[in-house]
Order: sequence, then C-alpha cells, then structure tokens
Amino acid sequence: MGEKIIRTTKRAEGGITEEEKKKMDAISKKWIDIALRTSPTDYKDVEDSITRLYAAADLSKPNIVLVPSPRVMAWAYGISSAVWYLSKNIQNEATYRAIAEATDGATYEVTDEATRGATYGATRRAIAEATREATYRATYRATAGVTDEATREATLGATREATRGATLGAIAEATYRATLGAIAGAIDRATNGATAGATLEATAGATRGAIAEATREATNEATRRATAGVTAGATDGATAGVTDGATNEATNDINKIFDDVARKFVGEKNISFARECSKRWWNNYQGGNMWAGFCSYAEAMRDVLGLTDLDCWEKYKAWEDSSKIGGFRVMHEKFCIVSDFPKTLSVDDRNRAHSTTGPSHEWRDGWKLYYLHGVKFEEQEWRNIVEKKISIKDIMKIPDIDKRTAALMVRGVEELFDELKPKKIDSCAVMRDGNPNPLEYELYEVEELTDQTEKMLRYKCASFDKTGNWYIKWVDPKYTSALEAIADSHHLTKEQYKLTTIKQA
Amino acid sequence: MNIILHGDVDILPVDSIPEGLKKINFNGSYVVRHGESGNKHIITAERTAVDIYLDEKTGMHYFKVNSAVEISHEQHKTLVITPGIYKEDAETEYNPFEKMLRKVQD
Repeated sequence: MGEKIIRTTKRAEGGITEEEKKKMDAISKKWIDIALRTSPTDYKDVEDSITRLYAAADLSKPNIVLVPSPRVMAWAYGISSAVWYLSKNIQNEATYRAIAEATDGATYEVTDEATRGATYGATRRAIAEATREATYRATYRATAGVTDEATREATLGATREATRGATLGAIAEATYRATLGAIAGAIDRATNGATAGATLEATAGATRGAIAEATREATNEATRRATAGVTAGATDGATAGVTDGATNEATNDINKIFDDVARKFVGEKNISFARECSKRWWNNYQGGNMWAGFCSYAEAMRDVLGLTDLDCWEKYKAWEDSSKIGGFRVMHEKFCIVSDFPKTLSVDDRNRAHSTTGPSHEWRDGWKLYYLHGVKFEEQEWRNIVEKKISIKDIMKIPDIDKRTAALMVRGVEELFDELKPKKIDSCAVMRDGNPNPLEYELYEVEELTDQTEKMLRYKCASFDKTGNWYIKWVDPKYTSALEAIADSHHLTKEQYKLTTIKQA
Repeated sequence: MNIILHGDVDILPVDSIPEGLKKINFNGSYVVRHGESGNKHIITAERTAVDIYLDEKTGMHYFKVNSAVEISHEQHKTLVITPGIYKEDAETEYNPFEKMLRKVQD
C-alpha cells in the first residue's frame, strides 16, 4: 500500500485496512439483503423518509403514494403527471371543467370503492382487476388537490384568455391534436426530471462530492470496490436491471387497463398524452433499495472510515432512509409514487434472476416476471422449458441464442447429449492476452436431427461473457475444424481470430 | 486498431468508410444494436471521440474512432475500441432446418 493511513472525521487517506475491509463486508451484506428484500414496507416509514427527501432539496411535501409494483408506479405516474400538466397549462374553460369533472368522477368512484374495501379485500380478484384498481387509486392519491386548482384556474381563465389566449391557447390545441410529434414538448415538460434531479443532487450527489474531497483516490477506490462494487455486483442484475427493463416494457405495451383508468382522469382525448407521459417514467425515477451500491459505499465512508463531520450527512440521511423503505420511485413536484418491494425475488448461484419453480419476480399486485439464468422469458415459454413440454430439438430451434443457452442450462447438457447423441470430432483452445483461461471450442456431429449429418459448435463467448456460459450453435456441415468454424462465423480467418483484442475497460 | 468480438456484434478494422452513408449525431452514447431480449450494445464516449455512420441499406455501422471508446452490453464485459476505422458486422450461425446462415440474435 505504501501510503500512510490517515483517519480523522474529515479526512481519510492511505487505502483501507484489513479490519476496515471486514466491517465493509458486513455493510455490503446488509445492503445486499436490503436490495433483495421481499417483506412489505410500511406507509408511515415511506411518508416520513420521502417527506424528508423533498425537504432536503427545499421542496414541499408532495402527495406520497405507495403502490404494489413498478408497473403500477409507472402507469399512475403517467396519468398523474398528465393531469397536473393539463390542469396548469390548458387555458380553456371548457377543458378545465372537463378535467375537473373527470377528476371529480374519479374521486367519487374511489371513495365508493374504499367503502367496499372489506369486500375487495376478502375476494380474490384477477390480476388485471388488482392492477386496474391499484393504478386507479394511486393516480387518485397522486392528483389530490388538482380539482381545486383546476376549478380555480377555470374561473380565472376567462379573464386570462382575453389577454394571452393566443399564445397559451396553442398549448391546448397541441394537446388536443394528440399527435405524438406535436405534443412531444408538452410531454417532456409534464414529466421533466427536475424533482428527481434536485433531490438526488441535494443528498446522494452532495455526499459523493464531499466524500471525494475528503479522501484520496486509493482510499476512495478501495472502499468503492469493497462496498458499492460488491453490493451492486451481487444485486443489480436481478434487481435494478430486471426491474428497469420490465417497467419499460410495461409502459411500451400499455393495455386496456391503463386506458380505462386514464380515460377517467384525463378524458378520451388525452389518453395518448397520458400514455406518452407514462413512457417517460424514467425521466423522474430513483432506484430506492435497488440502488443499494452507493448506500453501502456512503455508509462505509461515514461509519467505518469515520468521516462523520462532513456537511453532507444530515441531508444524506433522508436518501439513505428512503433507500431502505421502498423500491423504485418517481418524483414529481406534486407527488411521489413509491413501489413496494416484490414478494418474490429469486436468483441463481451467480445472482442472476432465475427460478425454475415459479416467477423469479412477483409483486403484490400479481405482476410476475419469468427469468432463467438472467434471461427473460414469457410465462408459456418458461413453462415449456421447465416442465419439459418441448424437446431439446425444439429448444435448439429458439432463434435467440441467450434464451437457447439459458434453456439448455436448465435442461442440462446431459439431456441434450441423451437426445441428440452428438459425437465430438474436433476441439481446440485459444489463449489471449488478458484472459487467464483458454477459450475452448468443441465441434460435434449430430445425426437424425435433419435428413443429413449436422455440425454443432460448443464454445465460450470470446468477449469474456459476463455469464461465463457455454454457448451452442449450429455451423455449416462443411467444417471439420472447430477453430475454423468459429472464426468463419465472425468473418475472420483462423489466424485473425486468434488475434482478436479483448482489452477490457 | 483491434478486432472486437462483442457477443453477436463484430467490430472489424477496415481501410476506409464508404461514401454516401448517413452520419449519426453522436451525443455521448449510442445503441449500436438492440437484442431481441432487450439487451443493447452501447458505445459510450466523449462526443468527439467517434464519428458513427449508418449504412441504411444493411443497417450496419461504420466507426471512425478518434480516441478510445467503450462498448458495453448487459451480458458481455465492457471492451475498449482503440482509434482507427471499423465496420460493424454480425456473428452468424447455421440453421440446419432451413439450410442457411443467419445472424446470431441475442
């Protein structure tokens, strides 16, 4: 290490000691557990920490809403941000009245539904109904107060229109036109990330900066590797990464449930607007417990290296607490919608999202995701594989090589060899700079798959695949050399293939 | 220059960039290819580090790398592309049922 160890309440230099490393391991373990939490959260804890998070950025307490899943979060966010935007920007009395009436209607229905809560609670409903209700209730809560504002604005609107109707009326027209290109600017403004950015900067951002100033690179980097690196490495793939992708898919594949709820709040003409707002959920989101890496790093800096006198910690506490009490959240000036933790979150021995006995992820509104070794499948695809409803031959026909590989890993090479009975005819190993292990390639003959002898290549990915999987693909039956087969599939000669550079970032 | 094999995306050295390609407005991050399962090969760099051109007929790209850039993907480790001129190509595999080559999808 060389550098002298310096520890004061405002300064840490000299790398980290073995004892500190052990304490950091415990912190990483704690945050890994938080990232993988599956027990439900408590609304009071959510309300408390989110209120403090907004206050840290000098923002007023918003309507704070707890929802069962990131899908409901994104959908309710889209509709709610559309309601708030339209209520503020449409300078047309009739439109104001329509929004106010629509929101009032939603209010009455939600109140009515609430009185029947016991019945709802006792009755096991279809997932669609649960999602519809959750989105509806969340939007209602997130838009509380908008009716008053809209009505007040409608009264003032007549006077305003006389003086500035020409300019502002254009916004309303653009919204009404409901063509995506014309309303793109409105969508951006309705979903802009100022709130998420301000809270992030006031808490975690300020902490990152204060820590950087208080440490030297060796200490900072060693701590980061021991905490954020370990925590994120163990969880990101199955938490933030999976949730991010699935939520995006959910907003890009909006269905009738969303439209039904949106119609009640923003009217038929603005459903498209609400849909587009929903797709921008990521403009304004923070990862909650699924961004556990930074929290483990900051905690180690404060509690292990002892940087307790930095100015950042008081505000950072709101961020830290908010990371413990919920999953993804969207932050809007008027509302904050927080997703509860999933009730199921399964990973394989390398922490990739994975389950062969049920969904790898399931949230309490019934939203489910099916993963095998980090690869997402539709439920029926997943069932076909784990319940052995499709043969190895059919698995080998799956076009996506990642899905094919994950499916084969579940079914096992033994089954593949039992069914196809491949005969190895060549193998080779290639060493490259930067890779301590040889890359291996095996070429097999397979009979009885088609009307001729086919050739199958088994290999590990040349780009140091993070997954470390063995891949299997078919190659032209003309090949007799494994190396020639793999090189040719990348349009290279055998000699070029051996020279491929694998310099890692 | 180096040869980069990044999963199903090959980045191969070439002598020059053909005429008539569409220049991409690179703002620091660019998705070279989307996979069927939602994963993406992304080039990340300073705005001036790379000029990217799209061959609209084939959907493949050419790259003039001025200073080192990184290519990342959810399933593959992040690799460095050193300065030089490159073209994008695709790993292929054989389909024994249709008796023809196709691009690998991931």
